[in-house]
Amino acid sequence: MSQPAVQLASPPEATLSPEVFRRAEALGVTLLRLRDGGEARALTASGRVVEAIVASSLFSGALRREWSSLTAAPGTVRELWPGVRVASLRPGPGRLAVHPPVPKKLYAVLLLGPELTESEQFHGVCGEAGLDRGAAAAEAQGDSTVSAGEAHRLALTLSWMCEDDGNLHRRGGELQGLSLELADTYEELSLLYKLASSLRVKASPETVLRDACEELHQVIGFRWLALSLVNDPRLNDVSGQTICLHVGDFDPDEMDAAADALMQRYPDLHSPMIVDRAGEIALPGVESLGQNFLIIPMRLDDGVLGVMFGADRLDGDLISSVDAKLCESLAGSLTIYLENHMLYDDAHSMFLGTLHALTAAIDAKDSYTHGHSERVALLARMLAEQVGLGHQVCERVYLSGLVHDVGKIGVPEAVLCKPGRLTADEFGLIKLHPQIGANIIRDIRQMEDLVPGVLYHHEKYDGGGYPTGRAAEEIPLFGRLIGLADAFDAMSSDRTYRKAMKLEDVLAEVTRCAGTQFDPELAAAFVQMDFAPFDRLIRKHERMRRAA
Amino acid sequence: MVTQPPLVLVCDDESHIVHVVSLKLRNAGYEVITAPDGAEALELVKRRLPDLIVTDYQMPYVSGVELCAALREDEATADVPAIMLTARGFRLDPAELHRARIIDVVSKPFSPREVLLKVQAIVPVSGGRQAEAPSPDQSPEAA
Repeated sequence: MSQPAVQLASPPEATLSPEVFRRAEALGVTLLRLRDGGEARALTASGRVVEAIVASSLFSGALRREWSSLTAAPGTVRELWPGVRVASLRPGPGRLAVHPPVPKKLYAVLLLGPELTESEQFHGVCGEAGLDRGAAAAEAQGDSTVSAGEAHRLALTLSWMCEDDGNLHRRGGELQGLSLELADTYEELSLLYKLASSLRVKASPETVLRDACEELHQVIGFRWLALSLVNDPRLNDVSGQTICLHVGDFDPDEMDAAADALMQRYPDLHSPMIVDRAGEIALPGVESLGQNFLIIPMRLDDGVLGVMFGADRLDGDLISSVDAKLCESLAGSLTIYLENHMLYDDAHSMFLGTLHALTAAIDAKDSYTHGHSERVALLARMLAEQVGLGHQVCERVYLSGLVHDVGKIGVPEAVLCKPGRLTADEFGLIKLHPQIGANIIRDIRQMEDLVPGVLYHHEKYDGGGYPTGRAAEEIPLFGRLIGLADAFDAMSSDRTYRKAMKLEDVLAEVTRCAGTQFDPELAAAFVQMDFAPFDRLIRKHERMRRAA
Repeated sequence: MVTQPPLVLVCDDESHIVHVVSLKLRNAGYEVITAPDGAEALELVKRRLPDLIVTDYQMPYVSGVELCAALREDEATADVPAIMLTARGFRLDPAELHRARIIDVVSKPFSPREVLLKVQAIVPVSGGRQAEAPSPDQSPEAA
């Protein structure tokens, strides 16, 4: 994602790669470093004769004379004097320039010919260097000398090689750059993939949002990244929350305030906004959070859902449109996730609300049983938790408890509310309510699994209950749980035919009937429970009944 | 003795993967050698024993699992830990992985950052190998 800083100054000077040196030495030619003033230096290991030639004033003078032709065409051989040939080498790719300046320095190759030792200049060079001419001539002939034609071919080949080598290096640099970019792309792809697979409605929004922001923060390399949501009851735990990931210290309150201010400042922002200087936002306190900001709105059809914002890349680069795109696509996915979550929450609270209304309607038929269904639901869930059932199952037990008496809707009010003893016929009508209730909810797909709690809550462990007379483990667990909760609540509250019993008496009764009326294991767990939540609920229901 | 950076062999027939992984590791201070397939990787480890191998699963000639299984047969390379890259959704037999002593599996498209974290967990840069001493008992214990 990061772009190399643009350099307008002259590009760094290209150098010959070690590979070129190695090859020149293997070919027995000398590489030189030349300056326009005539200075020359051998770069590869060379004999005394070569050293003497390169250091001579003759060589230096010839270089100055030939400088412009030497620099004009790399690979073209210039003969400085008989047997001494030089060709410039240009490392790197040939640059296209309209008016290329004459370079002040050059790489070059020195190629000696066999005719060298015959020349008048050779005498001069030997004299200047204090070399014995005969020995120098023998040494020079021992050095690999090449003919003019050979020199031409060698120079051309070497200059092509230098160009290719330069190209190779440039490509290597490009490859490195592309690999870095590819690595970033992999990072983003993997981030989006992970996000997509973590966006399940059932996961807690807090976890999903925090995980997503953490991953994004790691990948994007901002100093801090925050996500802030508006207040909406459907957002549950994350309503009005700000999640912030940061390097170094930050004041969470300050971040919260900044989020609120940003949402108010840009209520109509529909697409990402990059701010280069905090001053442009014109919000008090924002400068203390950073300079270079990225602001991504999160919107629903009907308004603002929240905002994702971050500041200052850790590598010092400015935030780019690529950063913005990645954050936007992540924020977009999170928006859809949250919207789904809100719809799910709507549907779920509608379902619960409807159930509560239904059970309240049944309880209202008999003022003595006011709140009975809710208390049975609570007790059954407490018992389910006490015996170590999973969270999901406990929630279903609660719902089953809530609707366990729904069948009473089909029993005449006169019978339900009759004070005193019931006749056999009347009791027969009462005994129909589990079956009626099961029939009512059986066809609702979302409530199918609640049927056993409704149908079997009047069975007894010894088989003496109704409607089927099942015994022990044949009675489904939901039926045994709710049956015990139901009996406990009946004994603990006032009824038309008697006053409420004391808690210790009720618990003694539960223990006494373990194995006959109740599942002995459940009964043993039941009497161990803390009944404070039940007491609170019963007091609440009494207050409501008095107020009614 | 001078500590040298840990040596990691990256083996994948897809050159872009090799580039991405080795660049990430080199930038984090590892020395990296690469091979385009399992057969060449086997030749390479005979010459230089790596501290860790990151290999692709599906490769021509010798697959990643076959490569690791072959390493286990030679006493000199038996303990070199390995991390495997696979296409996402590709089912690998856990027993086969266990036999080939493949410590971790990363699904493509992978996060290079995560691969680096996994490598660092197995061979930290600071705890690199000792200077040239290519005897088998110098190799780190397999996890």
